[in-house]
Amino acid sequence: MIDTEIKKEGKKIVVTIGGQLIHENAEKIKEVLIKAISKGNHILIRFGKVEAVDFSFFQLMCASHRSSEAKKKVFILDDRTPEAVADVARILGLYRQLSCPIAKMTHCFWMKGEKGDVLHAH
Amino acid sequence: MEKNKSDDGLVKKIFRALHTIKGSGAMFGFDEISEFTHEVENAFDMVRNGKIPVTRELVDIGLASIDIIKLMFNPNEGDEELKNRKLKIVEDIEKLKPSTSEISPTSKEIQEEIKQTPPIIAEEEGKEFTYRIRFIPEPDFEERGGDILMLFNELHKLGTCRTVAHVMNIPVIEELETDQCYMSWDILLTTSKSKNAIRDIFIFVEDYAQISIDIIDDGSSPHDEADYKKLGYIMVERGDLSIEDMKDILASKKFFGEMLVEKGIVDVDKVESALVEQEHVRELRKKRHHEEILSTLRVPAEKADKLVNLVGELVTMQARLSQVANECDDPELISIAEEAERLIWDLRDNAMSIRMIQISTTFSRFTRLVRDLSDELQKKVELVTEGGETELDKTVIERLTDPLLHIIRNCIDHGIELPKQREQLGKNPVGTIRLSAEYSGAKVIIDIEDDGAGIDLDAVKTRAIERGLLKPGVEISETQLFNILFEPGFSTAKELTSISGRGVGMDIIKKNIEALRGTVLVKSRKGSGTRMTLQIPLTLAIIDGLMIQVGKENYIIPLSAVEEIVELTRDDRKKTHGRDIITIRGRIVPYIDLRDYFLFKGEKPFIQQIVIVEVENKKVGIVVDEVIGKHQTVIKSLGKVYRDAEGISGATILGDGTVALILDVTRIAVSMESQTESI
Amino acid sequence: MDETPIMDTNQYLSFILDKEIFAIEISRVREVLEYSRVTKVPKSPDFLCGVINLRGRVVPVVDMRLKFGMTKTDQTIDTCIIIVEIKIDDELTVLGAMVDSVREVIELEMHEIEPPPRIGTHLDTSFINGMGKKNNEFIIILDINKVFSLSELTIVNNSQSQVQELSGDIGTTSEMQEKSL
Repeated sequence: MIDTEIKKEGKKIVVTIGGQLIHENAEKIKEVLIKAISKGNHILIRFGKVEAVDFSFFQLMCASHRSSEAKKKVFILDDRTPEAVADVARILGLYRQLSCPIAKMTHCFWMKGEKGDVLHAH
Repeated sequence: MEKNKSDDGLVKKIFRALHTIKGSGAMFGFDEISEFTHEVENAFDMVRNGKIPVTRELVDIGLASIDIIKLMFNPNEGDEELKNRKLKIVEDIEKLKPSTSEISPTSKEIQEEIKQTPPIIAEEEGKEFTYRIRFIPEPDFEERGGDILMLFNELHKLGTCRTVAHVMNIPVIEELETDQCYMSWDILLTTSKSKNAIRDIFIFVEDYAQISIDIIDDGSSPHDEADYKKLGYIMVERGDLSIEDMKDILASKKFFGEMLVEKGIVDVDKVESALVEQEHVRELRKKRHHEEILSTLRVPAEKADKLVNLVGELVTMQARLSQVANECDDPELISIAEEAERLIWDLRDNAMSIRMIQISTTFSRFTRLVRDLSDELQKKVELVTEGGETELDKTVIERLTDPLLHIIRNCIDHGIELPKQREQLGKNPVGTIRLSAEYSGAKVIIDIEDDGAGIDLDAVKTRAIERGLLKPGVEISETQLFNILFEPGFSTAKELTSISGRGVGMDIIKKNIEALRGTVLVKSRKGSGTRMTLQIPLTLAIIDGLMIQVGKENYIIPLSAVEEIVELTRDDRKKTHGRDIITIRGRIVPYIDLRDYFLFKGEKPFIQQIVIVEVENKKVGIVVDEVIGKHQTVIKSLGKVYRDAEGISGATILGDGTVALILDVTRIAVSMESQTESI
Repeated sequence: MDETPIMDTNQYLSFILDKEIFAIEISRVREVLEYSRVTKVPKSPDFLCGVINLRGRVVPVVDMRLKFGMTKTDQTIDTCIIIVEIKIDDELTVLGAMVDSVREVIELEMHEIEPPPRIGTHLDTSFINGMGKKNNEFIIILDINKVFSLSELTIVNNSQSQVQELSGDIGTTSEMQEKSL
């Protein structure tokens, strides 16, 4: 199951996302993300209680980032990425030193993240 | 397949199918099938690596294997026959493997090629390689049962991974199909495992992903310890960038990565990945270089010698401690003594191993000698060395160099014929000297073999009679004749060299080797060559000994020589009618009583023990009053005064502070030789 | 300053062998030991009593009485082993000399030493450096390097083969072997 919530905090659209962020739930997560992007120009993803995560979730994050870039919107992740999510991101090789092909306006979420380090998205 | 002999893809496919059978066989508990398939797989692996060509035999084996694998799923039918057929195939595969001695010209070429690209075959144990794995799953990868995260976790188990995800192909979220995979990966894996072990992880997903695995670092140390390829070269190597583009960018003299992206030649993912590779390998090499510095210490030899001496004294002290502990009969003291014993034994082994060096240090010196000497004598000689990694105590190696030098000199000087002569004899004009070393228990066996003229035993006999070393008409065995070569009066006869195939200094060689408590054995066939076999103890400082008693004195027999111990009663002696022989498992073994050998007076005990030792491939018995047991023996020299003491090679100090002598088993055995021969 | 070594050589350790007084230069003596168990090395000449453990070192011991053709030393509480350091083949070697008893360290001036007599002693005069006289006693000063020269000590070979020939019970020793000796 997933556990999501979209709310407005000032100008920001804050999406809190938790539960099982896996392949089987990817379609639902996608819907939430599209909805969130449509609601404002500054989207912030915050992690709730994440029970599981796999590559499909990261793919969705990158896709959301790409959409936002195309629409000149800001799409960033909250600084406090749960350890479990960061671990999987590391295994999947998402952390990087240069930027990524998606990030043009903003940086890639996965710049420089070392274990326990924050994932920047400015 | 037989027709398309070079069809690599086909071979790979067969290999993969076999691998799948093996894997599934193991998974479902068909261990036999999996084991057997492994053998067949090996054969195809050799084909895959270009080690053996595709031949009719191979195809036959393949076909027969399929039949057998089929039968194995139905194991009730004709089990025995199945087993035999299986064995036959395994044997046939064995035959296919290229033996090192007979390599056909074509496969030799291949071997050479493999040598030139060491990473392909260099998958030895313990060494770490870094692989670049490019993994591009099909979009429906996960749908078809692939689990990317699981694969990556498996890779992480093999070693250190650095992974770069390519996200270039991820679309905008509105267009994203959630069941599709848009990502691909470059993984750098540093592991001691083989390429095949990595392949194994991908084996079940190979059909729905592109996978390539390349070795980018083979764990060896390049001169520039911390350097690695330039970014551009990495990318060209990966096929991410053309050479032309690389040259263009280099010419622009800007930051390479920046330029690439700026110009839109490659996407930033690829630059990132190449950068990570560069960084990873550089770090790895730097670390390795650092470790190499840290992991080897240069210590003056005297310090190591001192350590061994101290350990020797400690071993002696410990023997005393054990003795006192046992006398006191205090359980606590005994347990402390036992613990000390264990520790000191470990310490002993450790200290000894510090002084161990590879015999290749000596071997390499001979390459030059052989070249120079054969040039000088206008002979063509090739020196082949094997087992150079064999380790011996430094002092042993030092004292081994001279006799080896002598032997090899003799091989070239008197063994190997002139090229013309060799050709006339139908031999390869280039003679071969094979120098090999291998472990055999607590000893190292060194063989020096040439394919030269060999030793003419008749000539040796004639000369021995002339020299008065042999009485005419006396029957003498081959071994004894070879032994005559080592007689001082014999081998210094210079004119003999031309007929014996062996020259001067044989007695010196033997003396040197015996000083190392080693033995020399000569085997030769006239016309086809000579082989000298040296048996050398690994170390001279501390050995495992067997303590025995004769009268009131204790003696030590090197345990490495001891085969077994049997009882001898006065009645046994009578049965053989005064001849000192005993039958052990149908073999007649001569023995000598130490009381007789050492000329001791006094009545022999009713029951004695025979310590059966093996010397120069022969079993002989040494009769002692009593066998006390194993004893850690720190060898002490008896010095110059006793340098000629017969049957004694050294001494050691016992727990009670007294001295026990170490028996020179070889010398004792040789004294019985004539008895042995006459039986 | 130069006199120091000369002074040293003036000191001698005297000991008794069969009631006669002998002496060796003190500079050669490392220490004097009580008699301890000696391990006999088989098939070696009688005057070589065997080896002892000198603090972890295996040291050969010579029975001086037998070496000088006297009767074998009987062990008494006075029996001593004098540890000497000599040069054999240019190599410093430690040896034990078994004597009846050790007397004292004496000083002998040059004028107190006379050249060895040509007659009147059953000893090989080449072993003798000179005769000292102190308190009306004659002291035989030994040339320890000559006594313990390798050729003197390794008559081992000869006596060994003699012993072997005497031994009837291992008459099986091969032709070859005797030749090799």
